[in-house]
Amino acid sequence: MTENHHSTREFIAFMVQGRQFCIDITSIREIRGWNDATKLPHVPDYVVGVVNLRGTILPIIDVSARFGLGDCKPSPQSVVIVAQVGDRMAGMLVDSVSDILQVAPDDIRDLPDMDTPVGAEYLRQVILHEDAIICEVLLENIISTTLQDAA
Amino acid sequence: MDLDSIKVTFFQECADQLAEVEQGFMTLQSDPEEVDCVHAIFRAIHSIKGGAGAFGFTELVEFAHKVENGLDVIRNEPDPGRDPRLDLIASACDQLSDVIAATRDGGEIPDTSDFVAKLSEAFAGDISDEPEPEIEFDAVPIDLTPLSLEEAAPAGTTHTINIKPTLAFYQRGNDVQKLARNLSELGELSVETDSSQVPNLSGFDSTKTYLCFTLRLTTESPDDEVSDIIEWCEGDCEITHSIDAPDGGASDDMPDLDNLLAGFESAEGDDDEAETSTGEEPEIALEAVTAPVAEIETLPSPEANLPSREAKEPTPAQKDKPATLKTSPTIRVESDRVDRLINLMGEAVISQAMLAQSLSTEMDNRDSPSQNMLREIERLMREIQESVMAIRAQPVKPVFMRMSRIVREACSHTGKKAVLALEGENTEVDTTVIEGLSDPLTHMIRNAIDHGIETPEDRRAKGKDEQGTIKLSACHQSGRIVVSVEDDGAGLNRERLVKKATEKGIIEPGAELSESEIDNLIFAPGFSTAEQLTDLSGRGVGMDVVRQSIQALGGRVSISSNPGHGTQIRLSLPLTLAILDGMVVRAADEVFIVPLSCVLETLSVAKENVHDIGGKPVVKVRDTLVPVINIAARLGFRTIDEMPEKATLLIVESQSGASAALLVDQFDGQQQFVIKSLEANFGRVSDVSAATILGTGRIALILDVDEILETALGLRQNNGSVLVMERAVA
Repeated sequence: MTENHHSTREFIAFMVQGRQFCIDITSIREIRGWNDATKLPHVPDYVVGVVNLRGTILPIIDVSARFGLGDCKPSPQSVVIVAQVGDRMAGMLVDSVSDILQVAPDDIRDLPDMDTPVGAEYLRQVILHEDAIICEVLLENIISTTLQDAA
Repeated sequence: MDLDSIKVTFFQECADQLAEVEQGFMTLQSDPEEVDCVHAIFRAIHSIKGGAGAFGFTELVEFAHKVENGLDVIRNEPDPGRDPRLDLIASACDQLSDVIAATRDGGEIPDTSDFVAKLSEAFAGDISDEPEPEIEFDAVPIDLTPLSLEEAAPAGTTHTINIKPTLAFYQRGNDVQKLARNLSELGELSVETDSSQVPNLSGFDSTKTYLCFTLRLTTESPDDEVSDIIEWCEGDCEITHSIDAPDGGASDDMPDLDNLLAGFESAEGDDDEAETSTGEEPEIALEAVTAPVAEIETLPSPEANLPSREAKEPTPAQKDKPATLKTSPTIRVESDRVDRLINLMGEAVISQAMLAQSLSTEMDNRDSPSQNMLREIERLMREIQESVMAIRAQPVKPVFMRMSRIVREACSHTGKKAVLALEGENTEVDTTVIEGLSDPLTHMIRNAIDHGIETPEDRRAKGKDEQGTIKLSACHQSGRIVVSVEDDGAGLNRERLVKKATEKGIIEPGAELSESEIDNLIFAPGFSTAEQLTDLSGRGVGMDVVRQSIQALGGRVSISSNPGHGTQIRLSLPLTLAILDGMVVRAADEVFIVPLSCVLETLSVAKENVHDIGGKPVVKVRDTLVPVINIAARLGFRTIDEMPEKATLLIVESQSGASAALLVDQFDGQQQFVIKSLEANFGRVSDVSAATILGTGRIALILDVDEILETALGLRQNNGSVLVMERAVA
């Protein structure tokens, strides 16, 4: 193992409505195909429903709707990224998983002060990767059900 | 096993013993005739003392000893259950539990001198001021080296102990052989069995005891060591104990003998006989000295009968014995291991259901070997599932028991009188819920005594019993556990509640509130009506904290009060892991489960039979009009109140007694479901109490009938605000 490898962090990149985002690989438990979810009553529209993850009730969050980019209309090609924050687990419904990024610390930057269609409360920082700029999402706020939909 | 883990076991056992003590006091409260409870309490305290002695926890031993002495006096009174000093003993036991906790956690040992003084005062006339020789507990380090026969015959005293065990002795798992073995560690022992009472087989009653034993012990150990051993079974045996010292020092020991004998209430009748037999003692002592210790090893155990009798008596006693035992042995298991088992179980059930489904599509022949096998697995799975669930579920009793201490303490702080009455304490709930119940219940009970129950004078003036009653009850209702705390005190003073709430800016001046809204003000953060702040409650956090901690458990709190007659607070909690009998219904292409317990009846209805009264749908069931709740519309899965041509109605009843008809598309039968929490990964969802996993692997929601009914019928405020609040807590 090289020294460089030690400090390199890995991110999973995924697509939502044609936009690329990424998430730290250490908080991801697994990636699953889309299965029809059981709808929940009286919940915000970004909560698609719940699915059975080996006996655990897993809420599914429509990342597109959460970001205010419109409902993503799940298809058989959609993917659920199962992530864990603290002792809570949630599935993030995205269009596809596109890449695994090896990122050197130098390529991780603070979020610039910018005007994006995605509210800044869902983004943590930006990653420079092969000429592309990819936003890392702030998982806590995406799966939190206490934060009201600000978008 | 290292010493630390033995200590852990000791403290766990202390907890068990303390529970036993609580139980004893509870029973005595309702039935002072139950003298056995006094003995049970005594034994529990004695065990704690014994264990503590082995670890050298001197403070604990000393205090336990004081309590034990007091109890000993009480239990020798003619009517121990009604002895007023029992209250003092009860408080002392509370203190004892604090001492144990401090010893366990290595904290500062609470000052017990106050209690010691009180105890000494209360029992001043009964306990001689001898310097408690029994405290020398360190004299009993367990010496496992076998006694050497070659050693010179001990020149100590000879004890003659006659034992006639009662049935209770054996039921508690005691054994004369064990007793004999313990005694043999102190010196040389011989045992004679008197089987003359054993009747012929025809007259043999397996629930009676017939054998008597005479144990003769020659020992140099102090007399109280011997009595410590036999003290254990005093309550369950007729025992006579006489001591004879062959050497000249005998007369010096004699005064002690009387003290010792005073403890053996059951021995009194036979004392004379034992005393007068002292003339024969020297001869017996001689015999005892020459008797080989090995005899003890072959001592016939009472269960096994005497070898000589075995031929004549087949062993009915032996066969029947296990059936008469009250408790089966228990093991302690970490709850993590059980959790893992339950999770695996859940997965297995689902996989099995899926397997069944794929098999059934492949072959329709119901009698094929694989189908039969599958049914067998299904049956086994159900049994395993039930057994595993039974491990995890625990009765709420231990938590309820702890509350009697809270009542006692609160009463002594406030000078009020109250008793705790329990109901449904054997209701089983998941252990996590039980753990979470303790703090809220403590707050509520303190509150009930501090604010609810009136002073004895006030109560007398109102024509009530001077002693208030706090009723703590638990029951299963609609797939939830409902715990209620009810007092027969003054009820809430609504005028004062409103005044305070206005002063504190919780409500707008002049706001129009319904009675139940006023009652619910006590749950508002920072609310306290106590004019005098006590150290019990009245810090204005109590009820707010109760609400929050119950909500954190996924529960709800409601209060109802009847001025002059008392207040009832109900906690409705989910059974985080439990099995629910439910009805499977379909509405708007989704499957829902309705807890069977709240369904009164089901009927199918045609669209034209649902009438509209003032914009609200109702249906006529026999002679009554019942409001209809369209589930699909209510949950927002159908945009308008559209209704299928033919529908099914479930007539349901909420825990408050309100009834309504739930309109669904279809009814698919009933089944048992494993309840899965939505709160764990998400949060509370209105109208839904929990979820479950169907055989297909899909999740179905379990409807919260109470919430649906109460909000739909306007019994509760609309849940919009509640939702946000509860989310914030979750």
